[in-house]
This record gives sequence, structure tokens and C-alpha cells, in this order.
Amino acid sequence: MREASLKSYLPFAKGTFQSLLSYRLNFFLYVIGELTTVFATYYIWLAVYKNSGSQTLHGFSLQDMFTYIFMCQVALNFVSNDASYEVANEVREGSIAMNLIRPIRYRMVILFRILGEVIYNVCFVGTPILLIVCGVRYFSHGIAPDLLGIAGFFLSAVMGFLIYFYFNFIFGLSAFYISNVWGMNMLKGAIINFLSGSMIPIQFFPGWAQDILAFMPFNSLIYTPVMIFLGKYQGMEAVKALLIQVFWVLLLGISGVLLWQKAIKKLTIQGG
Amino acid sequence: MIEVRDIIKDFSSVKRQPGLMGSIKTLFSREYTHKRAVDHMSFSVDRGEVVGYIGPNGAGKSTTIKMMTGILVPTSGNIQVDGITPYEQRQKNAMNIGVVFGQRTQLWWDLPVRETFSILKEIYNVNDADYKKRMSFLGEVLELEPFLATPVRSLSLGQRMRADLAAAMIHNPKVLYLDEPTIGLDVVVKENVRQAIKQLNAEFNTTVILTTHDLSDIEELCKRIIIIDNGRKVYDGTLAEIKSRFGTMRRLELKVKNPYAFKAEPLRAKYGLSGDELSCEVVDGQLNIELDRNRIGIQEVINEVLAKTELVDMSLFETKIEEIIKKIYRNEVNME
Ligand SMILES: Nc1ncnc2c1ncn2[C@@H]1O[C@H](COP(=O)(O)OP(=O)(O)OP(=O)(O)O)[C@@H](O)[C@H]1O
Ligand SMILES: [Mg+2]
Repeated sequence: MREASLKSYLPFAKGTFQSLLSYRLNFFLYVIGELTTVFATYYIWLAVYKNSGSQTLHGFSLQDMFTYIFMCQVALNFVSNDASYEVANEVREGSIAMNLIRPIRYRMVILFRILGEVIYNVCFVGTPILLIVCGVRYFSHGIAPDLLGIAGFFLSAVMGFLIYFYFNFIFGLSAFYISNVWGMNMLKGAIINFLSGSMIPIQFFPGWAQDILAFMPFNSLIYTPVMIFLGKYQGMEAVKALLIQVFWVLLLGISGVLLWQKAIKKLTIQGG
Repeated sequence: MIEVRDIIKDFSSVKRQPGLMGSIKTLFSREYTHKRAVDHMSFSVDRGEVVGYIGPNGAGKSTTIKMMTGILVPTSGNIQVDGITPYEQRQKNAMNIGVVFGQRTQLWWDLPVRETFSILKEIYNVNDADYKKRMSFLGEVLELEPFLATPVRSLSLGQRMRADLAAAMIHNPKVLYLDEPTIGLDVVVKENVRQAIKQLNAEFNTTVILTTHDLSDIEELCKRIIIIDNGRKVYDGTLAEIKSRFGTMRRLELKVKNPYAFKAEPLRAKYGLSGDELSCEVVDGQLNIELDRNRIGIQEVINEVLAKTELVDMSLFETKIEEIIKKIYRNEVNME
């Protein structure tokens, strides 16, 4: 049978993009909220550096830390989405069954819906922050923008987006088996915020924690793209980090498809 | 077109015990309750037929439709729709069918109606010419124009239903499953929806399976009906046949000079009729007579009226199909 082409899913992205455009107030509140957090984090680090008395901490200069914190915010724009909530909701309401009467792939529908949101955030929040970071680095420290690093950052952040998307997809489908997805979601948010390195660089974690995190997908979300941007991952190290991301995309992607098939079987046999 | 052979659908759900102790118990012991929603159902539908699938609440209509569309797998039995087993080749089957569940939209909540159609055009691979033709046809009968730019979530119920219907028909499906497509619609919209279904069937020879609790839908659209109760088929045949078997009651409404001049008793005695078979009452100065056409000729009754008083105006009604179906649901008539 003819597969629905990627083009057929584009309107889903367009739809979310347009509906976000129409909520302008939400947008400003969102930006203000984000900036407040980022500056607060920055000032905390400023105090930490002042008190420590040393120029660098775990290889991060204050200048690096500034870039790190702001770029984490950019990378977050790639991954923040509530796909898991959406999927879980459709599972609970049973409307997920409706996807079986159309020749269309459910996860592609969700992927493109989320994509619309991500493109919006990256365009209107992420990219401006990125430009500001590059500007500050250039004008106050004389660091020229590293085009390869920026390209690597985008590639890695897209990978992070895919990893987090499948992670959420799986998480949402677990509503078939777990009743309290809301609580789980809260827990997930907390874990991810912390383990992705968006609050504290993974390098600041104790050695054993870093070893464990190396086997988890979380640092692929934020930490990897930002480290590539900072030039802390270079050459083979950057390639290795990207390959690890590819591995997680594949692993979570395949698990997502398998879980979907299993959930559909349950749905069609037990009726939900 | 559709072959349904001896299908059964059992639902099992975890038995819930009342109270706190009950919910703790359910955590450990998994006691299941079983519910047979569809019980040895068989029928076949030819291409181009419009079949009314009716029955009281909880009869198993939606469950049957879900199995025919591939959303549910039957516990046993077999279904073929245009040579495809829907629940095995779901996506292939999906290309051939259009579905409306009146209770819940099949549209994407956050997209404007117009976007929905452009998505459907893509996924069903409808070419530009056909798309344009069908859009203008559906746009006209269902009056979609005023709300094409509105996101689905802000549509009124009637608008949503019309959009849903159009979305089910845009790819000219071979089979159209309509589960309560007129629920909650006002009379005008309802009529438009019926017209759309009728025209689609006439123009493209679309096979239609329709469930509804509004029997005037059935009367207007379906030659054939299947009645189901408790998961079992209780009737499969034409509406006309039901009418001729059970619909011999007639109602005469007469405007006469003196409505009290006519009495039913003499006629009853003469033909040996029961009170059910011939009765009369006076409402607002009008004489209403109910009679069983099989037991006494309409002419005899009118003659009797004319002998007693002067006739001004008269109308004759068939017993409403609702009354008959109600009796079938309540097992008050013998279907054998
Ligand atoms: N997922 C399910 N799990 C358990 N029982 C179910 C499920 N779906 C339906 N049932 C039961 O199966 C029976 C038939 O339901 P169905 O929805 O097919 O009825 P229906 O004829 O469509 O009724 P209505 O006219 O009210 O829409 C009902 O007793 C219902 O409670
Ligand atoms: Mg139903």
C-alpha cells in the first residue's frame, strides 16, 4: 500500500505553528518567564565563582558558564514539548482508536504537531538567544562565532529533539498500563531537568553519577549539543557524542514502535 | 461488499468491588466480568446498499461497527469488507472506508477545518480535480463554507458533525459507516445530512451502514434494516416488510358536524373486534379513529361515519414506524 508521504503530515506542524502565533500574550509571558530563570541561574553561578576564588571550575570559566546557561535555554527550546501528556490524554479518552480508521501513522501525527511547536520556539526564542550569546561573546570577549560549532549544535539539538520525542511517546503510551500518568509526568519533568544538565553541567556531578548518566539518554538532550557549541566536544569526541545520540534515537524509536503495536493489540482486543 | 460471519465480541473488564477494602482486593485478585456485546452476528451487505443497523441502547451496534472498521478484533468469527479483513489489514481497509462516530469527532482537534481537508486529500491521495469536485459538492449540501477557517475545537455540534461527514466522504469511500450521524442536529441540518448521504449513495453507489435512534433517518434513507438486541440479530429485511407485517394499524382523523354521533361499539360487535382493533376518541372536536386494516375495511368505517353525520374534512395516517420498532425492542411482537 502507498504510504502517506511526509508532506501529508506537514499541515499538522503548520496548524500548531499558526495557533501558537495567535496566542501572543502567552508568548510574552513565556519569554519573560524563561529569561527570569536564566538570569537567576546566571547570578547564582556568578556568586559561586566569586566565592570559590578560582577562575575555572571543572574546566568551566565564568564566561563558559554564561554561554552554557544561555545555550541550555536554546537547547531546551528543541526538546520542551508535552507529547507525553497529549498521547496519555488520547489514551485515556479513547480517542486514540480513531487513528486506526485512517491510513496514517499516529506517531507521525504527534511528531509533526510537536514539530510545529518546536519550530516556533526555536525561531522566536531560541535563535534570538543564540544571536545574543554570540554577540556578547564577540563584543565583550572577542570570541568569533564558531560556525562548525553552531552547525554541530543544531544537528545535535535536533537529535535531542527526536530522543525526547520518542521518550515522550513511550511515556504517553504507558497510560495504557499505568493509571496515574500525571504524577509520573511531574516526576519525569524533575528528573529530566536535572539529569539533562540544564541546571548544572554534568561535569560538576560526582564521578560515579557521571558514569551512570553516560548510560542514559538524558545528557543527549541538552548537555551534548551545548558542549558541542562550547567547543568542549571537538573532533572525534563530538562525533562520538553524536553517534551516541543516533543510538538513542534508534533504540527509543524502535521501542516506541513496538510499544505502539503492543498497545494497539490491547486496544483492539480489550476495547481500551 | 461486506460479509459478517458468526462474529462474537466479548468484553472482559476487571471486576470492581465497592468500598476501600474492595479496591484493595481488586489490586490483588483479578476477577473479571465478561460481557458479550455481540453474539453470533451474521449478515452480508451488497455494494450500494443503504442498511439501517438499529437497536436499543447497549444492543451492540457500535461494537459491530468498530469491528467492521477494524478498531476492534472480534473474539471469534470473521469479517470481510471488499475482500479485506479490517482488523488484520487496518491501513489497507482504511483507504476504502469513511467513518463517522457521531458521539466523538474524527477530526483533529486543533486544526482548522480547511487544513483537515487538505490533510485528508494528501493521505488518501485524492487528485486535484476529484478533490475540487467533491469539496464543492460536500460544501454545498453540508454548507461548510461559513466555518472552514474555524479550528475544530470551536465548532458547534452541528457544524462539527457536518465537517465530520464531509471528512468521511472526501475520498469517496466504498463503504461509509455512520454511527449516529444525526445525533444532536436541528431539523434543517438533519435534512441536509440525509440529503448528502442519499446523493452520495446515488452518485457513487457508496455502501452505507447507518445506526441511529431517529427512525425518520431510517425511513428516509434505508430500504433494508437489521434490528439487533442484546447482541443478537432479531430482524433483517426491508422496512416495507415490517410495515406490512406489523403496520396494519391506521389512524383516521375526521372533521365532522357531530363528532359524538359515531360510536365504535356497534361496529366492534358486528365484526367481532377487540378494543385494540377499533377504537375512537374525540379530541378538540375532532373524531379520531384507530383501526386494524386487516380486521376491518377503512371503507366500512367511513360508511358508518357518513351514515351518522356530515363529513367536513378527513386525513388518514399509517401507524408510525417508531411504534412498531418500539414493540419489537420490547419483544411485544413475534418476529418469527
Ligand atoms: N470497551 C468496552 N469494555 C467493556 N464493555 C463494553 C465496551 N464497549 C462496549 N461495551 C458493552 O457492550 C455492550 C454494547 O455496547 P455498544 O456500544 O455496542 O452499544 P450500542 O448498540 O452502540 O448502544 P448505543 O445505542 O447506546 O450507542 C454494552 O453493554 C456496553 O456496555
Ligand atoms: Mg453506539
